[in-house]
Amino acid sequence: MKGGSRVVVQPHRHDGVFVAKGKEDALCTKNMVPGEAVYGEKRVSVQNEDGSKVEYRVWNPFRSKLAAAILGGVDNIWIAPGTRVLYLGAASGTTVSHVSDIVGPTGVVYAVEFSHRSGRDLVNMAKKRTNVIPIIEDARHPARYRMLVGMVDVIFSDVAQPDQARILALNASYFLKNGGHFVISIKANCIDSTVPAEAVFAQEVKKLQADQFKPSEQVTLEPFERDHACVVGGYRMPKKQKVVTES
Amino acid sequence: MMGKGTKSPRKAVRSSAKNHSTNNAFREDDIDDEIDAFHKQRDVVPLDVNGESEDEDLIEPVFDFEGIDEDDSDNSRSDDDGEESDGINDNIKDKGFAAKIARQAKYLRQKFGGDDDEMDDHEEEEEERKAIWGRRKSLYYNADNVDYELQSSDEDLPMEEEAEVLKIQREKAKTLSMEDFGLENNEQDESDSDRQNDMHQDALVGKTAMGRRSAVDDDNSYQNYEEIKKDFTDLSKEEQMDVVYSSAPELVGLLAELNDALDQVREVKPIVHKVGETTERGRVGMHFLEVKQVLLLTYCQSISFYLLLKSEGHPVRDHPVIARLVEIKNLLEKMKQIDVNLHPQLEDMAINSLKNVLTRGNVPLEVKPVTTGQQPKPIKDFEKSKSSQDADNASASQKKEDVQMGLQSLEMLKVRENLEAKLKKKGIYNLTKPKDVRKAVNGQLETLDDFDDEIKHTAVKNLESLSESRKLSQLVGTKANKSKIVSGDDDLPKRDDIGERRRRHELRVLARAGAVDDSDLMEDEDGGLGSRSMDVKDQDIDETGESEDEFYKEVKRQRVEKLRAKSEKYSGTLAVPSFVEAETDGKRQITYQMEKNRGLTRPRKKLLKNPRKKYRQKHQKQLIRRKGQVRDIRKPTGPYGGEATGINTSVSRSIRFKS
Repeated sequence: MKGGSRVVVQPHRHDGVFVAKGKEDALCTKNMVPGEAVYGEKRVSVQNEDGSKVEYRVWNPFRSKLAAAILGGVDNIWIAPGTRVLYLGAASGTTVSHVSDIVGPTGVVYAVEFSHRSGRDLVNMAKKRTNVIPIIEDARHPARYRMLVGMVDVIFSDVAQPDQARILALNASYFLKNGGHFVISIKANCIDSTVPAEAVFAQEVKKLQADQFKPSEQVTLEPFERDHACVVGGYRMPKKQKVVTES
Repeated sequence: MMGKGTKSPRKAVRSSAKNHSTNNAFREDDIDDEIDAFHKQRDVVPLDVNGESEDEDLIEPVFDFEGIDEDDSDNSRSDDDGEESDGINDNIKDKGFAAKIARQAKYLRQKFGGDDDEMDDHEEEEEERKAIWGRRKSLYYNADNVDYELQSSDEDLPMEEEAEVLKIQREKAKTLSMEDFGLENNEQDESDSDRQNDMHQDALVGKTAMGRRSAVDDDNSYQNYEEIKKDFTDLSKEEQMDVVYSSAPELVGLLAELNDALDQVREVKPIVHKVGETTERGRVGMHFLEVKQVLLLTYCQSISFYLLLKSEGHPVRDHPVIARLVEIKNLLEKMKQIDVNLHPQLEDMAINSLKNVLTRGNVPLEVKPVTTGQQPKPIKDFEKSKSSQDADNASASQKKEDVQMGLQSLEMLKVRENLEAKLKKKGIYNLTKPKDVRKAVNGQLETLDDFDDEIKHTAVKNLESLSESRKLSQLVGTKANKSKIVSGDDDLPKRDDIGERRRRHELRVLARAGAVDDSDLMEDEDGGLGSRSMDVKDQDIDETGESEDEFYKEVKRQRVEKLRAKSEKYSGTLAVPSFVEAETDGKRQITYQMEKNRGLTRPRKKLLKNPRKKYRQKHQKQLIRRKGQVRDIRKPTGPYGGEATGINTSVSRSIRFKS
């Protein structure tokens, strides 16, 4: 990290996320396994007043859509220390590692990846991190890994499939708790390349709304990704408060 | 038969080797017995001189057909030996040993007698070999006696060689003929021309010299004569004449005519001269005589031109001079008819004049009536003179005659010059010329005049005649030019195309020869081509003189006017501003504010005044705004270091959905 000893790590608005402010500012997470980088990222170690050392890993927004969404100014990611997260489309596990950092030892990340090649890296990463449970299985069939996954607070979906809304709804029906939240990354080209990205995003939001989801916000991932958007919302949100207000 | 067939040639070879052994000393010493000799001969065989026949003999017939072989050999040898050997061969053929002897004898004959025959056959080659002495040095040096050569004294050798070379060259020169140099035709032509030249000279001398003509020649022609004599010796006279007749049949006749015409000129000239002095007398006769003289002179001139062409080897066949000659000839014929009537009268005149001439120049000019039968005579005389030239008696008298001739020619030239000058002055030619003759002059002598240049360029062989002809040609040429002007385009304006400067120049030239112009002007109207043109010129002078003055005056006036106008104009322009200034002093000028006042028009920004620029600015502003709404894509460069713009953790920029 440039700036040397003058680098200061500050906590982000989201729990478990930090910002290393040196010559350039970078998102980072507290490394669960100090001294080890997952995908060759930079690390920043900070010495506290009591002499204990804390190591942070720099979070690359070009490789992680969640980081890009955070930098894009999403209001709430719902992933915080101690939460249980179902991660669909984990790939090599770069973002998963950062999510595991965020949730910390008290939380759990179920990482589902269908591709064996990517799954190998994921498994290797998961060996070091005790809070990551890798599942090499098709996310379209949640029944196959239903014995592995318990009830989760947040589902993060990055499957990039045309029926990703359905996949998300299926998994949510299996594992997401009522009043839980979802973060879905939508790649417009993967769904429909003939229409503008905004139209695709609105279409997807409609679908989600039809499946008992309540999208609360949407953020585009520019300048890190083209025609990408992150939609954050709740699942089976309780109408109690509404009733209260009504009554 | 077989053995004989094979053996006999070898024997012949051996015998030949014996014959040749005189050349080779070592062989003479070494040959002891027959066998050795045989072996040596076999080695030597191909080196023998007479290789051709040897080869033929060396062919060993496989199936010896005697007859065929013999026939072949006979055929081959009969070419060399001749008939008598054949006869012998045929006789001897069958008889065994006798045949051998005969063959040997034949061979011997071939060696010695045959050599002679060969020499006959290859005579040219032999001669060539003789003439070209030293083809190769090795032929004469580095023989067997090399040592001797080295020892021999070097002083003698070059002398000997030189003598030898000189001898050879002399021999070579003897063999060469004129054909070898390709000079024969030229020589022939030259001889022709020289003959003509001689005739011309003779004509100049006159009839009195006829008797002793062989001796009479001036130096130039005499030299030519001497040079040519050698050539004449090569051909006989008949041959020469044949050549002349074949090449140009009209030549002899023309030569005779030339002689004739010259005689007549000579006859007429003193009469004309005399009559010219006393002009009042026979006016008609005078005209006639002058015309005749001119005609004769032109005739002479054309003939001499023809001869010149001939001598230079130009093709004369289609040349206009031929037509011209024919024309003049016809005119002369017409003249002759009149001549018969006037003859006695003329004779009287001629006699009188002749007396004068005689007393003056010691030239016995005999008046002869003109006869056509005179033509072949000069040639005879010429030949006679040629033949008699070798005789010794001529040489002494020749020199005397030469001297006399020189005097005479000088005299004649002087007279001629006078005549010419007079003619020129008076423009008599134009006066006296009949119409058709003049036309002819226009048509033909123009070309002759053109060819005059050519004459100048070519080497002058017969100087006198040439100079005469040239004079004539010049004279007639000028005349032709003049007449051309008149007879050509009379009606057309002649001086239109010539510029003012050129005209003035001519006027200047003419002013220098003012007297001549005056005399010309005094002449009657027919006289003049020259005079008429002069008239024109004079008119031009007058007109131009007046017109020039007017023109200059006009130009001057124009210039003055122009200057005045200019000065007025400029003075006016100068006057006006000063006047204005004077006026402005009286009135108040508007202030700057007033000048720049735009009324109620609202003030605009400079950039917004132009609508195109305004839109451009608006577009740029919108782009900047768009950057905040939609961020452009950034490609990762190198390892991720962080956000250069910083991260504001407190900002939430997401789009919220209304529930």
